[in-house]
Amino acid sequence: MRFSLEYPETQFALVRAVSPLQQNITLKSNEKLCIQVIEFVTHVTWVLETSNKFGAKAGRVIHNVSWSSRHMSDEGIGPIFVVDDDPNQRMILEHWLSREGYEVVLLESGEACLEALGEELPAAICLDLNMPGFGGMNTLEHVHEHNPLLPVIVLTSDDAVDSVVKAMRLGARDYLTKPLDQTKLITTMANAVEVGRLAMRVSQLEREADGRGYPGIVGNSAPMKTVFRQLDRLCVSDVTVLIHGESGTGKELIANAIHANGSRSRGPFVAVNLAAVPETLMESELFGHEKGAFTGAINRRIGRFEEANKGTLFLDEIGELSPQVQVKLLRVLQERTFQRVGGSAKLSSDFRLVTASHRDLEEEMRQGRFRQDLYFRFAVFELDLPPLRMRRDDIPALSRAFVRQLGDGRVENVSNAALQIMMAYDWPGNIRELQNLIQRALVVCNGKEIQPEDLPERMRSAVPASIPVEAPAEPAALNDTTLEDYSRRLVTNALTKHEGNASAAMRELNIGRTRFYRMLKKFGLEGKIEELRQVK
Amino acid sequence: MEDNWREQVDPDFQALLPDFIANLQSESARLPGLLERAEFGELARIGHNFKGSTGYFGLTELEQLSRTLELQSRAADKPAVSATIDAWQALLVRLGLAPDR
Repeated sequence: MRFSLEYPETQFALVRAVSPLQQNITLKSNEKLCIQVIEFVTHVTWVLETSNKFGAKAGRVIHNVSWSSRHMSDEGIGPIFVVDDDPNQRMILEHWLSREGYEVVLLESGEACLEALGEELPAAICLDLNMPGFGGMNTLEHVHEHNPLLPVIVLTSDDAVDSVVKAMRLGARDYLTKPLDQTKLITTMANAVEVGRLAMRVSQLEREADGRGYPGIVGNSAPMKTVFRQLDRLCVSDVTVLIHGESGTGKELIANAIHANGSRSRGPFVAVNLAAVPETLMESELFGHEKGAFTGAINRRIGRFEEANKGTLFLDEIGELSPQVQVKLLRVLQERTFQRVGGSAKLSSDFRLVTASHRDLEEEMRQGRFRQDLYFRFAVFELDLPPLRMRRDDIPALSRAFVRQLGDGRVENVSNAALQIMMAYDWPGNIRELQNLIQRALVVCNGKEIQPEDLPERMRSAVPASIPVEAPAEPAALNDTTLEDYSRRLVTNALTKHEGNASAAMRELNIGRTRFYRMLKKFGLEGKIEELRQVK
Repeated sequence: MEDNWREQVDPDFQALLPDFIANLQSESARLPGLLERAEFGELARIGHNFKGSTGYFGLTELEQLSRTLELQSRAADKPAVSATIDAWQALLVRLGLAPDR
């Protein structure tokens, strides 16, 4: 099925914004997805008028929208990189763009631009083609190699037609000639930013439609939705990422998702748990060694840095690095070159760096145990993984996923009664603990569903007294609808017991304020507090 | 006329004028030395850059000189570049932009 989209001539900006979509629509063969994509990315309700022409299905967008400057989207966008060796041009571009509400990053060379791209994802790049050193054309080529979706507007003089043609062939989104015209700059920039945003969104929706998405990462809770939104942004950039999260929250899974959905997915994903590497072997592990470099080095061995070339290097537990290793690592990251142990050749490797730690690194810095300069090298983009106790809503889905993944089909589900206990538990070991628990329960479970008695005693005894650990009396309580009923009853009981005292009810239910009030809203119990207080 | 060019600069650019003038003066001061060392690449770059930015401030004569400087430098035509630099410096004096000595 092929969709062709027609627009009024005057809405040229819209045409340009949706033109990349057209390609995807043609490729997808999925009408429903196409409409969803258009609606989602444009934030307007589109009406598609369809008709059969020439054996193909054609769609015409008949919604008449006014083109507004949507570059200030509620999701927030990255800055505009202005790359020009001429300080006057940089100054003027900054003046015009910042007045339009864009955050502007000024860069004086292609080299500076490529370095900045390793640290931040811009919404678009304004790139002068005529620059000394690495030059505009090479910069453009490198930018598109790593992020083909990033819109680049090239700036050139009015007599450089050949360069413009070459730049457009290399993937430039548009071009502007100097001296620049303010109106044209602003319009072109708004289009480029919007196109970039749409292209990234479409790319994400395509991933989801293809079933790629983030396999193995289960969650629909508010904290996980935030994580997924951040992942969407990270997957279209090459930025260095620091993942914070308690042990067992799935940091490596997230790092792998960033790699698998990014531009380096064809390269290797190399994960190193630094806590598991003895300090004496750390250098050899990371940078490799030459034959005979030390006792036992009977062969040359390449290190993890080399292994990760063209891919992603994931350094887990960076908080465990000794001060000596921190210094070495900092030097390598600064100079971007390293040597194998016992070797003299300076080597370099092109990898994306993702790191993680379960420690509070800011506190480690305050205590003088972690170098500030190294921290800032790592923490270009920080992603916080919530502990399981902060995303209890995901426990049923996670548990069922583990039952399917770890079981042999004999046990099919987790009973609601067991889930009640699990949702009230604090999970200090997070998802890993949940996974282990399901694995254990699958062994001891005799029926088709994991029951409270299949859970460890420590977990059952940790549950607040108000939550009955017996299986629900009514057999009908074994489906999702009843789980809601059950939760509603628990909340009502807690409120009644404490005569409308919300804080006491929260304490008894062992849940936070936000979740408590969300439950009140969900269960239609918002008036319950007042009602009980009046009775009192 | 460029004699009263400051008043004619777009109000939008008045705030940028001090920085522009500072850049113009510092780059202009380098021109004789670059010519002496026959660094035509750098001379062409300066010509190219001012060709693109002088127009914003209504300095059309300087814009033309920048264009000439770029072309002559690319051709490594030392006598022609020398004459253009002289004209450039003279124009700065006339515009009241020559750096204080």
